[in-house]
Amino acid sequence: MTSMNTAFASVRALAEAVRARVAHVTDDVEVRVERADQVAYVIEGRALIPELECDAWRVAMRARRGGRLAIAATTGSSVDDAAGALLRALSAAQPDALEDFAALHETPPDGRGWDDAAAAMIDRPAQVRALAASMADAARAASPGAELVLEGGLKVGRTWRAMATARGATVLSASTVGSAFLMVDGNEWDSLAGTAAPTEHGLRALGRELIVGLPPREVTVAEWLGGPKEVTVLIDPRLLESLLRALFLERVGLDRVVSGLSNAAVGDVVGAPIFSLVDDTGAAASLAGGVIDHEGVIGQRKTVVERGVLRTLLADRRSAKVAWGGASTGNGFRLPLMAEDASEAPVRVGMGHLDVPAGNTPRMKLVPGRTVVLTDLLGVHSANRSTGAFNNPVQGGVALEDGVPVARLKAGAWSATGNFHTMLRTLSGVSAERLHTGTASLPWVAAPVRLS
Amino acid sequence: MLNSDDAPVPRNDAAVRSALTAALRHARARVPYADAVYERVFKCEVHQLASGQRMVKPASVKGAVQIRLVGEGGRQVGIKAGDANVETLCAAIDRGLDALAAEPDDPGFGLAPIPNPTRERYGMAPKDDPRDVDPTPRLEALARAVDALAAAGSTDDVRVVPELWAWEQVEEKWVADTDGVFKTQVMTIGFVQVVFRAVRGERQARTRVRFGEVGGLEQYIDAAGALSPTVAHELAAERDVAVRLLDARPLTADELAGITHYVLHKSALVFIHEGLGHPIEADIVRSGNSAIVGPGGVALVSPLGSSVVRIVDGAAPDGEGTPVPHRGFGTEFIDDEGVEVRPAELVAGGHIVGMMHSRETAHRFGVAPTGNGFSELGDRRIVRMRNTVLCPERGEHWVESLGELLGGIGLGVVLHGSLGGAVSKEGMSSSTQYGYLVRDGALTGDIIAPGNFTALTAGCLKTVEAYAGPVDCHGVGFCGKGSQLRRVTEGGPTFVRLGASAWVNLTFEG
Repeated sequence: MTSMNTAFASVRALAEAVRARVAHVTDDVEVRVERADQVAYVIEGRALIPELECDAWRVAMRARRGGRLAIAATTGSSVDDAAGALLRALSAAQPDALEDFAALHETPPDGRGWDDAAAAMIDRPAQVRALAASMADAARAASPGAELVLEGGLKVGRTWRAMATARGATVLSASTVGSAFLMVDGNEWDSLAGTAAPTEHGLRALGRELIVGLPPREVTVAEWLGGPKEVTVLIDPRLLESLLRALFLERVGLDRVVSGLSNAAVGDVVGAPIFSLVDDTGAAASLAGGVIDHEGVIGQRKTVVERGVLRTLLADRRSAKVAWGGASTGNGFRLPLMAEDASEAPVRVGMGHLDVPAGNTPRMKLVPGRTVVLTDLLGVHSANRSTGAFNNPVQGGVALEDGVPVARLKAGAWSATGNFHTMLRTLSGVSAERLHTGTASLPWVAAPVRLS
Repeated sequence: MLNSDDAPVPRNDAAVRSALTAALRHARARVPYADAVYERVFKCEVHQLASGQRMVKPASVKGAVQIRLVGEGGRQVGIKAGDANVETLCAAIDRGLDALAAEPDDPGFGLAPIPNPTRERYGMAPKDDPRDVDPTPRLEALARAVDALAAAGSTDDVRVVPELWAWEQVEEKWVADTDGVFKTQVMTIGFVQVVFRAVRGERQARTRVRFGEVGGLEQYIDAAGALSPTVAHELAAERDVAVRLLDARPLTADELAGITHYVLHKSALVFIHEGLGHPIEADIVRSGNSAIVGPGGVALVSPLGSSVVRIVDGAAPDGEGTPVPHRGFGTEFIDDEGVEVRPAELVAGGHIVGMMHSRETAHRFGVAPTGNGFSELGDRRIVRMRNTVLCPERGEHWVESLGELLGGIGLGVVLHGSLGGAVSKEGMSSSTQYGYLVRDGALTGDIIAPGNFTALTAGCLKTVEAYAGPVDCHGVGFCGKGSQLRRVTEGGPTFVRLGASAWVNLTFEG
């Protein structure tokens, strides 16, 4: 097993070696190194397929010289490869408003985001396998008469990181991940994720409750609603998170405002009075929280929306400098624009752990009469980021009668159309219950959606 | 395909071969069989964001190894290692042995033999190799050319904001096993994506156009900074459509209810990949997650489509539908198991006639592998599409022009472009970028707003009636199956005419 000290030493050494190699030809440099191990078991029908990852390195680098910014990325632990790529990038450096990188402060690894049990499981693949099997077995046992088609998996991973800039200390951090996902018949799914080791109890409950929660009957839009119509539906926390990250970020990211792609301003009414939203890039025990963001800015908890009113935009160092002449909110992340590794991606404004305060109404009572709860939409990534409009097939959902699940939504037979920004402003309910998705703590919300 | 003697040799070949050989020897002392694939990618790229921020990255390097250990009784495990040095590889193998010990026997597991096992070299040498020739001038010229196109399309009222993402990468691959197979491949791939956002006051509209092909960026922009005529024409056209979309409208409820036909432009054929390709991947079939082929490989729906439907996956075809081995954004000469890529005919005469296979699924189904076993940089090898194309047989159903194809359509819409699709077991969904209304067999001139096209796999091909124009793999994209990204295309004739049915649906944003 790779010891903590050995791992930290290795990532620190690589970050500092690259920095040293380019220091004499740059004004400033930023090196972010990750080293990761992972054990996963993929469920494909009856098969349980092992996927192991050993010593996956990612090196993301930026350097400044003469007011220009250079960017490079490598995988592997080679100092020569990494420094060589960055030195080549200097010749292609572009004018950039970013004036410097963060001055990093000595921040001893504080253990947030690290779970010893999860880390240890990576060296015990048989244990991970047994847990994955127990999740699938629990699902099958919950429906003994039917041949369920299951897909999903269980993953545990550990990552060590080092970040160095030209000024200040090298910041070390480490985190673990434990996550599970299970889908039945290619449509209904459930998941759990966090920094802790998955437990057999939790995994068996996931498998069992996914099946038990599904009524045997299935309905079409015509059968349940009499045909296409706009109804107030329940939005599952997992779908709410997808929509917040895909569409609401496009509105409240300061870099989008600077680009003219959003006209949002502090004080705008962006939600119903019952809706508030906190972004916490430093959240403990969250896969979306960390000691620092990808630019070295210490994680912070910010109220983005308070009782429907926009209280702050989210900024990275560049957009904060351009728009405010001031400090980043710690939301600079390497977010892939498309098919690229995160280490290759440009730094843009992203969201940390999302936190929406609970309401007072049990979710079963949020929407009386006939409605549905929507778990997921197929292809949220293709929604209109400019306007917030979406129009997607439903993937996972249940018909509710006075809050009670009575039927599944027939796979492939339902579509949902709406505008997320309008929905937020017209929310009619926020549940008293919340779900921790691993990257967010969110309630169920009631909002108008056209179903067809 | 080039002769083996002509194919380039990857750099550091001797060192990589030595490391893989030593690692496989380490593995062979412990298991009956092992194989490995090492992929290394050198990439240069330019990003230009809507903010105007331009990032030129002349050198990114990434690579990883996937090792598969096959034990007694069909037990097997895959391990990804981040570095291709002997120490890392042997440590990864040792960790894999722990996992292998936990695996139960799998008597049905096996690997179909690698055809042509003695041939070693595949690929095409890069022109203007970006590892040796600074790619920055070409990348910057591309950004300037796109800026100029956007500026030329802007008016006093409308601002056209461009976004650019372009890259060229040299991909090197080594495949080896404990039986002595050793194969390498060198490929250069070029990719350009441009988004035009038209902004008029509070209104915004956008179009996206992509180009991707075997070869470098020199096929899109020359050394003097001039865009190729084809690229310049298509970019200008899509820029102008973005502006026109500011005044587009959705189809009305009455129009939607009265539609008799959909005509899909070659840029809107993502449903071929999502809805028809994935359910014919043998690993999805085996897992029980295909709605059209049962786990035993027997078609559950027959016929799947009308008699004029023929779908092939493989190297990109020419205009007549004949595969060209070195063409297509999804093309490789060998897959990541060392199997030479060959066309896989999936649907013919409307019936499912074949599947896409890795070595593992080929063994399970008792057929030859098709060269569809791929991984993303060290991930597990799974069945992946390459270029998946509607390649009809010639006949009266395949005409030359759109005008001929529209004849007889009472009310229809010609759909262009997609910003992405997604698949479920039952069907698929893809966005459409814009459309043109058809009435009484002719275009009306109305431009139709972005929408969402959904298709149910089991029936959406049953109403394919006719085609127009040459075959082209126009749909350049990245498939994310199993969280592994892979370059792919989908395509077909320039236009595909589809009768309205309960299997397909078009909706518009709220």
